[in-house]
Amino acid sequence: MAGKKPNLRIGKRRVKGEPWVWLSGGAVATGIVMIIGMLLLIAVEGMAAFWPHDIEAIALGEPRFHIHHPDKGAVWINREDSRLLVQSDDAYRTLEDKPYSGDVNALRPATLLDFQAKPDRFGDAVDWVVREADGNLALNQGEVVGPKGYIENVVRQLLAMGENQREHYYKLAVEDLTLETTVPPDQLNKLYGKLTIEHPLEGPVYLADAGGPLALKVPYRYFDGTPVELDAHAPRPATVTDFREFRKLFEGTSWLLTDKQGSVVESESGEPLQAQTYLDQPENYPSPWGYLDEEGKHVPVEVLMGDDRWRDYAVLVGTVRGEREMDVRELPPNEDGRPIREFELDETPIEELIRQGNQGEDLYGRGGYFRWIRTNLPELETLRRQNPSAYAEVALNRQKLPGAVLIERLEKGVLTGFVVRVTVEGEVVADIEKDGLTRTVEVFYEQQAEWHAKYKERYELEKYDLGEVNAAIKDREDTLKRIRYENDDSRDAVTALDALEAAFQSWQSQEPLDKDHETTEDYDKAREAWLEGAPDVFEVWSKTLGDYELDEDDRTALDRALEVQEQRAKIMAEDFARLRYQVNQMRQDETNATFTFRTPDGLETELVLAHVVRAFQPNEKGFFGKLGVYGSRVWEFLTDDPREANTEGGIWPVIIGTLVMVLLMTFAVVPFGVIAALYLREYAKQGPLVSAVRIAVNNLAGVPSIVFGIFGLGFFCVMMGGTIDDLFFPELQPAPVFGGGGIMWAALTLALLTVPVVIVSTEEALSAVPSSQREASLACGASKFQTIWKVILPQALPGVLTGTILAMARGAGEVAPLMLVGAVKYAPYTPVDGVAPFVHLERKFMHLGFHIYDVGFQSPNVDNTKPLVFATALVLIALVAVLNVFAIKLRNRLRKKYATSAV
Amino acid sequence: MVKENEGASAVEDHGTTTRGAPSVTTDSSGFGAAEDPASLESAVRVEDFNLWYGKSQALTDINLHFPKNRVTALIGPSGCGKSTLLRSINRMNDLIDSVNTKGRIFLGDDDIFDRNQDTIELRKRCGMVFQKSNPFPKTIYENVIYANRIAGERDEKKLKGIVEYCLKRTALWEEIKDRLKENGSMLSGGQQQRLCIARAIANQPDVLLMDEPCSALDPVSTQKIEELILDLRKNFTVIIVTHNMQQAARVADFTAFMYLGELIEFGATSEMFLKPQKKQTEDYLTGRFG
Repeated sequence: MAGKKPNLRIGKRRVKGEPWVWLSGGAVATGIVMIIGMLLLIAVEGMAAFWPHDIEAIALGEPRFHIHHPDKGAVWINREDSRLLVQSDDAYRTLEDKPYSGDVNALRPATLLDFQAKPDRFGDAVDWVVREADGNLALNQGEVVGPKGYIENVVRQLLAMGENQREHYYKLAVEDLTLETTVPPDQLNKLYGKLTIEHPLEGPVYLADAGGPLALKVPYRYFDGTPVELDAHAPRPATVTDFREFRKLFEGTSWLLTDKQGSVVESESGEPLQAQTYLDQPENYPSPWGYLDEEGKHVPVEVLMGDDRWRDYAVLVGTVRGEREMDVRELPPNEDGRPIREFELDETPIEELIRQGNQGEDLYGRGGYFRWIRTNLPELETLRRQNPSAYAEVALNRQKLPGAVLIERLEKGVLTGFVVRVTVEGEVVADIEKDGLTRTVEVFYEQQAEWHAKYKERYELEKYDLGEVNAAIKDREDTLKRIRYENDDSRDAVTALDALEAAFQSWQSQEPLDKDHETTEDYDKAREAWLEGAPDVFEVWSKTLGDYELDEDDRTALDRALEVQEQRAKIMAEDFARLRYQVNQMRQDETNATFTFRTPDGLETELVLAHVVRAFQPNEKGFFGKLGVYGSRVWEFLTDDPREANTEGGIWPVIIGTLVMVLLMTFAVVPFGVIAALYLREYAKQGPLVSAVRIAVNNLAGVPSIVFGIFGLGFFCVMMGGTIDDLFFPELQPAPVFGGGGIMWAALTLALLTVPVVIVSTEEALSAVPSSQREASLACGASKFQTIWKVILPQALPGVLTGTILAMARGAGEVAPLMLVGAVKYAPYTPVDGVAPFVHLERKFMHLGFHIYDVGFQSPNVDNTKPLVFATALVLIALVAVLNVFAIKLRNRLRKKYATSAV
Repeated sequence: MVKENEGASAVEDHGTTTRGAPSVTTDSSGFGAAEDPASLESAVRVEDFNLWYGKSQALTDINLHFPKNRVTALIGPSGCGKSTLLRSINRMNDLIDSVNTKGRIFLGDDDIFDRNQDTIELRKRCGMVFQKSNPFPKTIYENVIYANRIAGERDEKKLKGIVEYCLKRTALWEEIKDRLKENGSMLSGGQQQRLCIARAIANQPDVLLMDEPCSALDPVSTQKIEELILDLRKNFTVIIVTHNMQQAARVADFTAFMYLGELIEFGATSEMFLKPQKKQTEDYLTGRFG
């Protein structure tokens, strides 16, 4: 065997080459493929999140009308032989499917009592289930429990329960049981008597007290009165489609129609609408779904689809947001009962995620935004017969809805439909019936742009200007608190200060109300009068000062407090009230411009123009038009504040929060790590102690990050932050300044988390500097510090930067510890802004990683936010990549500069 | 000679501490006229010096005078302690934790192991050149004046003069005077080693310690460096460790032969190579072992 080249066998084939090359190369290739695949997935999904899709009308398999017999009520259709059925109340059969021969009037539902008395009567052939008094099947730990198990377990558990629990349980199980602290035997019987026994598929089982076989109800019979042999599948209600297709079945009766709720549909004259009339006069009974033509006339969807049948079905209007392959096990089985398999299908059934544009919260209620529907299904007719509820989710046809507008609003979600009317300051500037659809939409765009700009102006005024004034007022209030705190050893001074505060409050309560002043000039006059009243109020207060015993210090403090209060009043009246009035006026003005919007099923609503963020007609836009919308959406995503609990709008504060946090962390971790590594490598005497320290540092990198979070919370936030608050902001307590989570503490916590990475890579870099360099420097008469500073560190810098890159990447992606030390769901103000002192280290902040978690898993609609999760992840990756590219460029420059001997 | 004068004049007061030009003449054989080392002023004096690495003794009772402004070669087989002795003179052995010493070494009149002796001052007085060239990854300019910068010299004009002087002394000036801003590691091996020598002399040390400076170089570079050593001898006391006995014969005024940590023989090179006193020396020189 010696000397024989080792070969790898794959099957019977001998693969030439070194097996280890194949194996190790394969491992590397797998890794690369996975990394590239992950990045591609995130990039593609993240970038696809903002593409504007077409608005489509999709006809679903959901019937609009059911067929109704004028006398006998609802009618069913047998899915096997397409015969009509009606409900039957008095037919029974035995378990063996034979007609029940005994007296049907003696039958009553079987109860648990019956089962306990004569279990043999039920036999073992059927796995009976128990239904409780509240109408639900009896469950034990999520499993359906049979009568035997119920008696053995549930009743026993019930007896072992505490009183309160039992009481609660009785309420569920037995409605009319008198509650007692202990359960007497007769009441236990009564409890059993309320629990009926059912066949797992056929429903309740009946028995006669006199004896005889058990009976099951026969729920349907043929229209001619003959009973139906039962199988496990219920027939389905007949729909108007059946009426259309099986015309013969319905001959001889004047059938009526019912809607989904079961109420009879009436014609315009108020008479019940006959099914025949509905079919014969399509023009009189069109689908409510449709679009508006150029003149603003409703064009029903069947005209668009070119087929009269579509008015029999419900229509879904929306945009397709994503798709996935359907689980084929949900399809009806083959005719011989075998489950259908993937390979038996010509096309893979697809489920598509539809964003239902016309399901704005205010119009249709919450949570109906996204819906999965199915396409490409085989054997639709079989599905319709066998599983009507699955058929109702099938897309039968789809068509772009001409002229439809998609509207993104500040709140309550997206709407699709048609702009009917635009009203500005009481005057109709565009009306679809007068001006036509195109012109109306144009006017709508113009007005929307104009009024949304006004909204933005107001928003910025509110956020920045008013925010700044608020900060100024808060500053004065903090000063007052401080004065009070500093003088709290003198009771009279405190009383006087409180009286001053009360005086201010009484002055503030006289603030003129917006509603009393129509114009700004009017309000300004009132405001000035109000401000002029302030000195009088303070004057009154000053006169009472004689009542207190005050020393020199107290007097100075009171003078200062008065001064600050006067400033506060001035800011209040001049800046705050003026801005607030202005903002309120603007807010009021915004509601003057409205538009009437009509959804494709004809529902009209009036909305405020300024609150429309973006509106466009996706179906009318070409590729480049859509690209424009895409760009604007991406720009909004990157530069705007979040809206609607982070599910809409942008992530600008999140990006800034992450960036600032990572930079702060880097500034903290690099010097600390480098100095520690220098000590360990250059100064400390190498020995067991240093080895132990080194091992400990390495192990620190393996500590779960949440542990650092808890440490950060305890040490930084509570201990250090609390101490800072005690020392510098005692007057503000108990409100924390540094004592809660904040970006500084988060950065320091992450610095602790990443310091092992920096130490390890710096140590490696230091040990890679040749000792000849040290010797050369020392031999020149350099001290150890000079050697390190001038020779060693510059050469180790690339290694230090490698550590920095790793630390930044790790720190940027960390979420768990941040949740404890300052990352929040929504922080309106970024940690760096234009308000002095520009960097606010104590502020809470938003973080991309936490944002991904929050958007992806904490929002009410996960289907809605999934694209945003990818998009945010993409931004996170890009941010880390950009930071890394900078660091790597720097490192390469340093490497070139400090390359040691090329010989 | 012309070169040296140019250099000295370029450096204003840098070269003012000129030591008397040596009166040694060379004869055609390449050996200097035999001098008695004891008669000369000594730059470095080693007295009863012992050194241990941990428990193994590397140097035993070394007594040696290195005459001033002369080239002294330390020869001997590998592991005989010549490098250790050399590195003891500027206390580079302090970098090794396990080293213990006994005895004294004087640099001029100062006991280098004296408690009050500042190692940094000491090293400033001993330039050192290593076996492998080790320029810093800085510009050639910065490499040369490293020691001066460390010492706090700020006057750029003066520093420029030093660079020119040192590079001229090491015969590099003509080759690289236009490339002073280039990285030192861009030079060839021989140039790098000469750059290291320039760096070592930039601070005007008393003693220049050379630890096998040519062992990694080709013959042409070696020749240049040997010429350089002969030139440097005018101003510096040179102690050179070498494996190459021809080199010792070519450049050294005096030679010390060491074997197994002991000094076997020390004397004028010409005498030692022609008439070794000890059998071990003769065996080594004639190539019977080593």
